[in-house]
Amino acid sequence: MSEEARGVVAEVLAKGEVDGVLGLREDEGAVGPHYFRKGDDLDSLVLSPKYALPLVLRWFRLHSPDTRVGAVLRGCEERALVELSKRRQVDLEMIEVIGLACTAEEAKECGCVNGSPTNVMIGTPTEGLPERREFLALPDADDGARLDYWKAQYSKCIKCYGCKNVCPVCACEVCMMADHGWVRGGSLPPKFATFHLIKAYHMADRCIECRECEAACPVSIPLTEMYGRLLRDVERRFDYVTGADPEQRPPLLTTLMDEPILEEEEEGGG
Amino acid sequence: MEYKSVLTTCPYCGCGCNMFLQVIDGHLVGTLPSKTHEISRGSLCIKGWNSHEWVESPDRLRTPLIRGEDGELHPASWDEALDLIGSRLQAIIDDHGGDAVGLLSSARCTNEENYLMQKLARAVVGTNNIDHCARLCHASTVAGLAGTLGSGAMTNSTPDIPLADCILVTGSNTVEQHPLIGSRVILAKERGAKLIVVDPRETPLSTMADIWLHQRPGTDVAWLNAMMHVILREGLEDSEFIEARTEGFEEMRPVLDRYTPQVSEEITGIPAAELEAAARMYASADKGCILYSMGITQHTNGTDNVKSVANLALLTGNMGRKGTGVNPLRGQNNVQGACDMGALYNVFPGYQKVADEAARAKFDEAWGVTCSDVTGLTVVEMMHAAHDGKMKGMLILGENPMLSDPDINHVREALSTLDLLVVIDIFLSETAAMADIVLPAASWAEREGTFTATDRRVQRIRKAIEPVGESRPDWRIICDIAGRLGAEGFDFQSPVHIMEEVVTVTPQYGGIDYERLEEGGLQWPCPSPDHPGTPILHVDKFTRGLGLFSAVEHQEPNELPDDEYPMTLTTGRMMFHYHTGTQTRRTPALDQEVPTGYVELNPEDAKRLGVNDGQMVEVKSRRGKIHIPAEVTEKVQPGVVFIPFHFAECAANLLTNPALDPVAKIPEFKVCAVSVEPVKGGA
Amino acid sequence: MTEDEWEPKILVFCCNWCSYAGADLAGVARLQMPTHFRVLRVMCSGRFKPEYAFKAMEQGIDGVFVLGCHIGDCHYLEGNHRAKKRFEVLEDMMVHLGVEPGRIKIDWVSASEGVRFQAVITEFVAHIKELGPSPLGGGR
Ligand code: SF4
Ligand code: SF4
Ligand code: SF4
Ligand code: FES
Repeated sequence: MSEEARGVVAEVLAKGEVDGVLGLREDEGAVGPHYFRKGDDLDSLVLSPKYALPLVLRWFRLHSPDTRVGAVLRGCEERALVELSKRRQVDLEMIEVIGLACTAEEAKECGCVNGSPTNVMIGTPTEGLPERREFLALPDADDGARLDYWKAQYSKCIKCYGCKNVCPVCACEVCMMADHGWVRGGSLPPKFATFHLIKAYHMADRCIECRECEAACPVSIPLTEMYGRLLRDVERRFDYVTGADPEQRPPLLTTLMDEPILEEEEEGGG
Repeated sequence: MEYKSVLTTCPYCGCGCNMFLQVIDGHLVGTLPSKTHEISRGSLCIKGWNSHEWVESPDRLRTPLIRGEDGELHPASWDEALDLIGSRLQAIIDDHGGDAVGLLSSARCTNEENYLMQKLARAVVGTNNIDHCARLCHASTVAGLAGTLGSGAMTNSTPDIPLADCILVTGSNTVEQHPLIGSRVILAKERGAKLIVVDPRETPLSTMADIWLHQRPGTDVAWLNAMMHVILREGLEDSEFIEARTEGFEEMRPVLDRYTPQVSEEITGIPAAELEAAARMYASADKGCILYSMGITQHTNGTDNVKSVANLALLTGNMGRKGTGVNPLRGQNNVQGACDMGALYNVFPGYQKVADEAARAKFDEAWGVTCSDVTGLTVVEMMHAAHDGKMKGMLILGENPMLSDPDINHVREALSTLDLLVVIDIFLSETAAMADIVLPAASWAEREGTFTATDRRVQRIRKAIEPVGESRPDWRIICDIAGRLGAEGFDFQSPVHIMEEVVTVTPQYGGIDYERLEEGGLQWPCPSPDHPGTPILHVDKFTRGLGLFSAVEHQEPNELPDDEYPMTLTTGRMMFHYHTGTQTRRTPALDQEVPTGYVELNPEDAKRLGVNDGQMVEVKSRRGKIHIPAEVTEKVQPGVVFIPFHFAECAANLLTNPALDPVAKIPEFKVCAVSVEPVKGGA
Repeated sequence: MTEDEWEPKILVFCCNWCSYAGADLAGVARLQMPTHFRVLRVMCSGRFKPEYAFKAMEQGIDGVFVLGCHIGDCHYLEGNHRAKKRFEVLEDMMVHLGVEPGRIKIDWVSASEGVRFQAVITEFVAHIKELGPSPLGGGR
């Protein structure tokens, strides 16, 4: 598929409508994000492992808002852009998405249920994704076993903030997880469970299940088991699917009739 | 728009994570962990994640500074500063000899720079007075393990720690000090490995351990000996291994006989039954792995402690296999490398002894000089020599003894008596502020080179942005100083060329070159270009041949609590800051997390002293006193207080005891006697 | 502390314009009420951040009750809409976490509804008593 991707990227660059294309490069034995320009040798372009490219696009927008760029993005990454645009963190007009369809294997590994980007230019859209995400079976809530499970999981936390730093949609200017009013500074592990519940709650109407947070977590806390469940709740209650429609307002920012709330704009979590 | 994603190695701890620095239009905007790197695997700790934040800080030194007649530091040109250093250093050498000069190299700098620093000392200044802060952390490891195993380094690799069946962690707050090793211990434990923690203080690992023993600080030999006593008593030793691979067992045995668990209990306070359980747990594991750090090394008997740890692993045959070993976790990003490069008072690169005539001859020939056979001075000894007026000039590279060394008041007096103090640093540290001449160095994100991680992994750092202001890479600066002293053999064009010289004189690094490092790190020994590197030491044979058991006796710390100073102070670090804080405290995310120091005080003591959580207290030792807020917590035992040493405004090292281990010359940071009192009128 | 002596710790967040006045009215009228709660005033129920609930639970609070103006009466127009939606998600979260969702609750009390205040509080306190001490129990 890399070969195909090189051709597609070369074409996009040749058209000259973008300044460059953000993708992945294999170099010096390591794979990382890279910005390909017209005329660059594209042999080093690769497609995996995936990196949080929407995060890089956020930095682009912050430091060079007038540059129009292309980006090789998977389905979840495109959905991240949609959520970011709702929060005015990226400008969709300034990004040409070069859609990359995950292989069936990749999709299975991620437990993806949401599928390919809208405009697939590399690979073929995966068919037959499961209807519903398969969650781990959580222990019973009644006898406290479920709470114990989360206590054990969250007590592994080394407070690296990787789950926040890497998350493409965690884009608040001031993060409540780092605010001493909410979470005591310096204690390790952070006390159960405000630190983690802040993040979880804030993800309920914006997480796009790219699972970058879990990949970044050095102690393998199954973070999206919580986030993903909340997403399903939000979908059920408010008929809202993250990352689908740039025009749909996040439900926690609208009235009971889905009208925008005028009173205050989002701060912190929403 | 220019965007670059530059692969490099984290500048903080010895784990050696790899990250991509994110650069837009020549400025650092972020950090991403490398997903394809063996250590980081897509993760970093909080320091690594924020390592770009301080680089372009307005506080960075941007020009050389020279102290004027008015006593202040004034900006100067590079030529002025270098000429002045050259002439004044030369004058000292001419008048008092090379041994009147001391050089402190830096575990924060690259291998290439450390190599050059010791070459500058030995080949140009003509002294072995070269040392660095490894003296303060793992000198006892270098001495202890070199003696028993033949190699003063981690025997195994970071990635194979999770393969252990039982992990014994002692004197290491692994999660906070080596986060990406700590996380592996957590994952191993979760997967079913047994975890034993021996530490006087509660740490994130101790709370999840199967067994947590808290010993009285400074009594490690006693419990280690007693563990071995139990192992022998119950026949849990690996006799085959002892027979085939070791020597000295019979000599050690009678000593162990005396350390019954009851004897240990009296000395250490560890209940005999708990110690026995721990001994059984470790000895019955197929693969037992020991991780230790400064809780073992920073004692006046640090070398003995290290030997004792090695004894335990030898006794149970936990050597030379995956998931086993004796693993000293080296603190700084390149403390392993700085030692490898011979930035030590007694060895050339590759641990070739200065006292050894053949080694001297080799370096005489390589450098075209005659190296001094006078043993050099160590960090703390240099301060004494300066204090006594014997040391006239010092050149300090990227170190901050004014915060990191024991008994800072003494250090201050020592440094102020010098005729010439030159400091090369990226910020105006507490030490640089005392210098006659300060040279601005380029930061790790602004230069090329290699670091050697704690598991002997040699890795590249790469330049992501141009040096700020007029700052220059340290290697360049050292070459320039050498040039001003009329030396030859310092006309390197880049770190690549320096490494080319390093490999010719350092057998362990013989097969290392930049091109190979592009493909990923290499673990030494890597003696030849076709050698794949060595993830596990001592596989079929110890570096010294046979593993050597050493009979070691318990010895009380140098300074014990008494009526005047009734409590024991132990010092250390925390997750959110690094060393003397010059970088981390300029990192908003870290400064926000923990803005200042604190003293941990057990609730029992707090009650007795009438101290509330957060209240200001005065902590006093024979050497100094500080005011610091109290943190009342059960993390410390009654009678023991803990202070992290990162913070200049409440510097733990004003209090610490500079008493030294006689072999490794490491100071006893982990134990000294103090008194604690509420500050009058302190809220 | 033994089970029998246990007394629930409950925080009640009242919006400034309706519910706080309602609570006041209940107090002035000396209506009979349990004593296990503390009232905290927020400008609007929409100003109640879910994070308050996490923090309270972390510190061992057994129940969190938020009271605002009736839907349509919010002095900031739709603050209570927002609060309502937030609570639904919060309740779901408690379920996933393994904490009884009944420990957090939102309801509406107007400035004139002293009696209603008495009724909803009495019921909430009774419910928390039934649930027993919070399993997060940081404060115990
Ligand atoms: S899966 Fe994790 S990283 Fe991805 S959007 Fe959700 S919370 Fe953020
Ligand atoms: S990534 Fe994992 S360890 Fe790091 S802060 Fe998040 S949950 Fe904690
Ligand atoms: S664990 Fe060590 S090497 Fe890795 S990011 Fe943290 S400080 Fe850097
Ligand atoms: S003011 Fe009462 S709920 Fe908004």
